[in-house]
Amino acid sequence: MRKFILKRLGQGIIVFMLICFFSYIIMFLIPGDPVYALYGANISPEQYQMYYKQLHLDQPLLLRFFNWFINFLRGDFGWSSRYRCSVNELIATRLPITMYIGILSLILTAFFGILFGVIASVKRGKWQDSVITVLANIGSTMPLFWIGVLGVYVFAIKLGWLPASGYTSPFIDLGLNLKQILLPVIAMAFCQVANITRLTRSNMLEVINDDFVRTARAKGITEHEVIFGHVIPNAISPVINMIGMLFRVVVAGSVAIEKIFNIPGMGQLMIVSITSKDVNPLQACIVVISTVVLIVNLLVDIIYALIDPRIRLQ
Amino acid sequence: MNKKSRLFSIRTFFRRLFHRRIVILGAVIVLIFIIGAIFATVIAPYNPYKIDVLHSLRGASREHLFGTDENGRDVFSRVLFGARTSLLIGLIAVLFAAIAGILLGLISGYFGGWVDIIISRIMDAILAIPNVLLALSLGLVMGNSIPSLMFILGISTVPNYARIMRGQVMGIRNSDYVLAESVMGAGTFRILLSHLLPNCFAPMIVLITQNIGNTILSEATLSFVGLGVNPPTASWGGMVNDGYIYLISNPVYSLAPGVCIMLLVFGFNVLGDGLRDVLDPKLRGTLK
Amino acid sequence: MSDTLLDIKDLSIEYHTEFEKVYAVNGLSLKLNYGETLGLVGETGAGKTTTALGIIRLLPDGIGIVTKGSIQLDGTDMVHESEEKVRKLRGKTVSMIFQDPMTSLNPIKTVGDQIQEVLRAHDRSMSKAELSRQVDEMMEMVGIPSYRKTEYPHEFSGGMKQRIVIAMALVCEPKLILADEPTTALDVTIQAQMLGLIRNLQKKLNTAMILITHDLGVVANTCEKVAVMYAGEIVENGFAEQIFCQEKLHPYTRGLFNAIPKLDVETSRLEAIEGMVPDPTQRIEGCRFANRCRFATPACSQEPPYVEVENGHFIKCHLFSGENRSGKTIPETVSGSLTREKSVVSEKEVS
Repeated sequence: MRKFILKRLGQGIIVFMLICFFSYIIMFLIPGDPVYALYGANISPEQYQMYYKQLHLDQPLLLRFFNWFINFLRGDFGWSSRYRCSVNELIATRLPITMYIGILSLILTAFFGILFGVIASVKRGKWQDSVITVLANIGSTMPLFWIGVLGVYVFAIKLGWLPASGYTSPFIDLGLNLKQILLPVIAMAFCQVANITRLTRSNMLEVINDDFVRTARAKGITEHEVIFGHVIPNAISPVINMIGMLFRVVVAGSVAIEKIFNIPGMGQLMIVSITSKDVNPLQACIVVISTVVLIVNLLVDIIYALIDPRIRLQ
Repeated sequence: MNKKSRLFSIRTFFRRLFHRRIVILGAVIVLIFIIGAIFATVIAPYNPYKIDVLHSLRGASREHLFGTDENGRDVFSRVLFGARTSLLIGLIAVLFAAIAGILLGLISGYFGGWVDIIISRIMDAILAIPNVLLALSLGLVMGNSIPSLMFILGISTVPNYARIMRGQVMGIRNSDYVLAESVMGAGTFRILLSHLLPNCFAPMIVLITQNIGNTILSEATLSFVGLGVNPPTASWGGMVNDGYIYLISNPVYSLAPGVCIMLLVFGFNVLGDGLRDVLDPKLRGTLK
Repeated sequence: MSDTLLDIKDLSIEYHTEFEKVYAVNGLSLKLNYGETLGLVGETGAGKTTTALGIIRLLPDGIGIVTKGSIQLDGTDMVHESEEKVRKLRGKTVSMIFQDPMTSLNPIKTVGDQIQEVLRAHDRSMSKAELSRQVDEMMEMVGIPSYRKTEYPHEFSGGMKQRIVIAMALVCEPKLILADEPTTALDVTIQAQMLGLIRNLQKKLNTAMILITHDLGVVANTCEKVAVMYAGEIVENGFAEQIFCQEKLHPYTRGLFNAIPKLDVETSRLEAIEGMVPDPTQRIEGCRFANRCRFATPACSQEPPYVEVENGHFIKCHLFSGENRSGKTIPETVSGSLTREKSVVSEKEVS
């Protein structure tokens, strides 16, 4: 088990370095001069020379990357020209908001996705299965941003039950906060539930046909025990894996959702930094989000190994 | 069973594929959109770029099926041209990803060792960066012209193909029949190719069909946040975004392109599932 | 109470898949007494496993359907009884040993847990200590040290896994074991061990058994009774001595015997049964073996009767019916002294 974790950790670190390198070279691949890109076009030539030195642009690329990387590891993400504050500050205020909404929707997704998937597979061919399968098929085709728009149209404009946009910290006004995040969270969970449902259902059906399930039935245990004791534990690992992967989708979703609902999270930060060519926050976003994704996936792998003893020995 | 599947005639293939009515529905939807996209210039009642400020933001009517947008352009015509954008980007991006992924998977699985480790880690890195994030940052570098969008959207799905391909190559490399053939003196690469093609064809076709839907979704998302297809080119995602502010005066403007995205993606997904049921012998017959 | 443990009458089972109907078992009748061992022999696809799954009622849900007939097991109607009641019989009254030990164990549960599960299913009040004691005892009985009960299936070899499967099947001391080719997936050396083990335990616990196999040699060593299945029906049924003395045999059984290499007779080449098993998706009128049978006559297009050729020895074939019944020429003809030409003629007549 320790060897397994160490191996995954090692792989994770390599991937982390690759991502850092990728996000670093973006700055130099953007058409135009990196100094102007970072500090804006209206700086004096003296300032230009100063920043040029400051960025160590006179040094070779790999060395520069190394220096930058060390700063990064120390937690210094640089300065945002657009927001006129340190990127650390930006990330510190925005990451929790995105994570808050993301994790809530992930919990909803996992719970309902697995629930519906199990129901559909156990009631295979019956009406429950048909209803769930049709809904899941429709759900997985709905663009997330469109669910958001639809939600605003129905619940905010037509019915007036929920606010159309805005974000208030839960520590200031929990009630308002919950009202505001309800639509974003549900919109984000909606299409993911469909994917998890489909995956759970197909995995369950695959396992249900396995020999050992027949053996379990031959023992005379109840159908309930067969499903919960044998089928679900064997069918669930790929689903857990998928939920780990979904974390990426949640982050991606936050870009659209935060735009629709005007939520000051990482997604919004990304769009603003791209449209204003503000590179430092973008680099930080890429690295921070990818690191979170990596950590989540590492945790998922460990859970996976805990459930399935065969993986531990590989 | 396995032998039988090889001898599939085209007719039985289609009979089985369209055995479930929902697959027919999916195929019909996809076909309608493809026809609509190809003949957009003929079908569209108006020029999708013609600005007519006097008739802006009209609701749905007989003259304007889906109403008009803030510049008075006919929404229905723009939706038709949007199909062109979506399909073109979706298809080419997926094809690019499939070719690149298959090649990388082949190389990775065939050579193994360091080559495999390097390719696999790069694939992991691509997978760890959320695809929209990857697309956003690449968009910053490459600009958001349609060809660069195709590349950007394609690249985030390359690992899917590479992984499957690599797995297949590795599996076949170590299998008894390849061993047997190499004992008889055939070259490893030739054996691999002759076994890979029939083995990989089905999963690749299924993956490609299923990915088209996802890619169309990603393109729409990018266009929605304003980082995809540049206006004035009609794109569904962009239209949902443009129309979002005018939900009250003309809700169809924002909602109609969304429905189109849904239908088209639904069509491709159902078709993909149908193909999987027919082509993947493991699942065949178990789905009712 | 009568001696009959299992009474199957005119059982038909069909598989309904998306594309076709498969007639797996067609009008099968079978009786088994308490403590008896029956060998169910036949080619792959003859319907042996389907019959067993029908007895324990584990046919694939919604696909395998009993269309006709009845199964009485220890006084219970296994076709119509409620699921709850049948469930309580599984593992306790009837249990099954499946073909492939590699896949019949849950990969993510310890073997001890998997054995214990059977006990708990039939006696919820059993204490933890008692459960554990019985599991230990059963594991030792099948020859696995009980300390290994906390290990997972992948830590055992194929033969060991099959021992665990056997332990699971026997731990509640059922009245009937259905052993579905329990040795097919194992090495030859382990096969004999495993059969010996099953046989010993069966004697010890006084359990009846249906041993499904395609290996006549296995049957000769283990079974008192033999039933030969072909295309979903039993074509011959009798005591092992009656069948292995090879005096009166169904042409199909004859073919099976001819396909076994003999050590005492020098044969240049084994005799295979010509032709193929009939397509199970087609209904066949009359004798199902007729198209491969060297002795087929026009009469074979009629459903053949069950003829009791000896006490307790039944053959389903026209050769033994009516006036031929006591005829002395039959064994001779069946043993293959007919001329080649005649057999060709009769094949033509059939087609």
